[in-house]
Amino acid sequence: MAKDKPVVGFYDLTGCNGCLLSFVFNEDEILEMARHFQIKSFRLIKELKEEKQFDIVFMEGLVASNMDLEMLKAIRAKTKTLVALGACACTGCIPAYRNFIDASKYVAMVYEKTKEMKDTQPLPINKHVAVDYYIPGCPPDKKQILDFMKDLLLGKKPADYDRPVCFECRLNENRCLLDDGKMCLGPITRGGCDAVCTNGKLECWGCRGPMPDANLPLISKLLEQKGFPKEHIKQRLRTFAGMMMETPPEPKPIKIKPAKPAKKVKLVKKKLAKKKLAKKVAKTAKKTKKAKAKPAKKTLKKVLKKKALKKAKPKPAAKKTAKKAVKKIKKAKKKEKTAKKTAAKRVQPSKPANEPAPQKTFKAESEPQKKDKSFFNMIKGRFKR
Amino acid sequence: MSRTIKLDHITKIEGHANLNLSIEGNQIKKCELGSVEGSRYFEGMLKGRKCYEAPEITSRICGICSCAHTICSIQAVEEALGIKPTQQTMLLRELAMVGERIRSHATHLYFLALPDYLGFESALDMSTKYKKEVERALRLTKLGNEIVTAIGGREMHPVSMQPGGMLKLPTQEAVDELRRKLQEAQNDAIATAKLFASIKYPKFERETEYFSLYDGVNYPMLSGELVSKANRFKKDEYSKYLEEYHEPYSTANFVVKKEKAYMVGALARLNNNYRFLSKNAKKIVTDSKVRFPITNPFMDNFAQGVELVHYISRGIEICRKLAITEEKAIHPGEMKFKKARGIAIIEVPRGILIHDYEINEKGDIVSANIITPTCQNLLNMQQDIRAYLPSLLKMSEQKIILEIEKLIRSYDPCFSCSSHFLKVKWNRK
Repeated sequence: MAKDKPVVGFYDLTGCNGCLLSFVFNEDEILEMARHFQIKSFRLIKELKEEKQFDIVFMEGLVASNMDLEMLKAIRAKTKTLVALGACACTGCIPAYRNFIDASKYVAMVYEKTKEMKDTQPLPINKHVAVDYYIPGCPPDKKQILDFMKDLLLGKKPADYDRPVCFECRLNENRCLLDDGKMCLGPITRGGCDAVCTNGKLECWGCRGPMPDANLPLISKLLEQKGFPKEHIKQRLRTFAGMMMETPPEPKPIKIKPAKPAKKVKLVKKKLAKKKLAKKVAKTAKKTKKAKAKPAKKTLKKVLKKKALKKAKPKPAAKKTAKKAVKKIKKAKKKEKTAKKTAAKRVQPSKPANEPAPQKTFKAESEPQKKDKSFFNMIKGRFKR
Repeated sequence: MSRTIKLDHITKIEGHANLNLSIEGNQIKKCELGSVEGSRYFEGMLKGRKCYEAPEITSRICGICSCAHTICSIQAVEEALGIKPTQQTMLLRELAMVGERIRSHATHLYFLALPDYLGFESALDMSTKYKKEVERALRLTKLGNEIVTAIGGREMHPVSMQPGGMLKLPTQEAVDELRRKLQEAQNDAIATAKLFASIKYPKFERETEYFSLYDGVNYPMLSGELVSKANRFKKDEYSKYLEEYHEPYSTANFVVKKEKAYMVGALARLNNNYRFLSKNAKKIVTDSKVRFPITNPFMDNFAQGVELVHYISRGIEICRKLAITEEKAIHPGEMKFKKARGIAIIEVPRGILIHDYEINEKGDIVSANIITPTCQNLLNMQQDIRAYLPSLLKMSEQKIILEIEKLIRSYDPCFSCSSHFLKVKWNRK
């Protein structure tokens, strides 16, 4: 194999593997395409091999655990061109919708995991590292991935599609779904998907993220006029690309279920214990609701520790548990460093902390972080919680 | 001699998983197989959403079986709302599932499983020596994708399906075209089944409980009761029998039946439903020396090959039955909501998939429970590894890993669904 062929890697973080499959589903072209690249890493269909350097890496999925973050950083450090493949990597997609829901909705499902697997705030990859290109969509159009690879081969600069979904939808002579009383986000969503959903009569959910000049307050108003409840519109806008439009509230501490080494025989007992725990959690959730601003009374293990350390704010409700908290903080001192790191990341998401300056062969066309801000400002009033 | 085997990010499976083994002499002290994919809490995100939004959201659980999640979710919502879809809709759904099954089985057999047996690293590397096979795989995948696209609107995360019916119907010409293509693909499917019948699988037998759906008329797909050799219960009773529990090393839950492991998937389906196979699929089995029931988990690959032949015949049958007549889907604004619970259990490529929702009067989802096939197979996989390992201990480390990976891959696990797979670290003491 000639050595001048670009070294390519396909990686996946937390996600559904659909974007990588989208590439594989180019049945007629994949073998030909594979000849023009040195595909060195593709866990889905190949053994893993440690490569020293990549020219191009396609990264699927979002960062949802410490393991994801470590992997992403390690790969960014040895990659010239990092491509965010698909909605999860670009906007956070549905998994990042969790940022906008109340923790009480999933708290019963959270339990203690090993250190590497520990949950982190679900974020698209550009909140942690610099990204050179974005291929949006859930899933990204398979031909679009090919076109992108061809452009890179030819030394062309791949360009974003800069028209909304409505443009292609009209070209396909579809009937407007807004007229049919469907909550279609086509007017504000970046096209390039050939309006595949609206062709199939499904309203656009906005998976490719909003256009840079999208008028978010206006679309909300329009949909409200059509009779959709505000809450429902908010949910829809947030489902696929919420992270591009607004900054989610700081994640609340979660009570983590203790992980007992489950022995099959003790399952029944465990189940009962779970129920009890669930009840407790429900109770505390209720209490917190009543007390509104007050954080959960029983200071909860690691998550809270981090938060407490980070903010160093005295908690009004923590009086009773102050002593305990102090003990816990002492215990957690070792973890302080990591907590601070994550805190720094959260505060300054646009600056990939501790990141070796990525060598860019191609210049990134879009600067998503800046966009994020402007979106946030635009939508601020409307989306006040 | 004691040693530890640690496989991190197992390759050629969907999603990420790790395996941790610790061996002392001939005794296996620890065998932990679990998903390390980040948690996404789909069930939590469904709470407070409109029930008709669930199919669109849950389809994102998995890329390779997004049709399955969509359809299962749709059927759970329909069950709760008391909507009965037309027969045409049900046939179209089944056809979409057939399409997805063809591409999923073809991808698994050729891209994930076959390289192990032919001694290659990946199917892409096989393409020079085994060009015919790789091209066949791509043809079958393409056919599956064409079916799903024709009905669902795109290869992944289908758009045209909704509770109550189809948003957009395929044209009769499109259906006829699919039938022609399915007929053409019959030889490919038979060649695949024969190829996987000729492979020498490791000799390893371990009986477990094999669960699948069973409807007494057809090879199961979208409906039926849960059946094993010794047990039989209705879908609404699943929570009475099946329990979930956590392990700190896995982000995927373990699902057991009354504290015992069981197996789902192609092998389980065939063990329980052999007599409903199409004629040419049965012929593959009778021509081989294999007889069902099979207790060798490696033979899951063979079972998938047999199923491939069956599903192509079934696809042709459905296309013949379909005479597309105009019908309108129910507009979400016209749905009548009530407080209810909807449970749907369907057969998906890797086994049984359960979606269970509770809905309130406004049509919001109050609680949701989703059980994927890999969660159900996880404990059984672990037990198989435990049972298979002692016979491997004399081999080199590399070979042991390959054999274990083969075993895991034969289950066709999907750790995206269940929450991700294998890299190995050896520690010799």
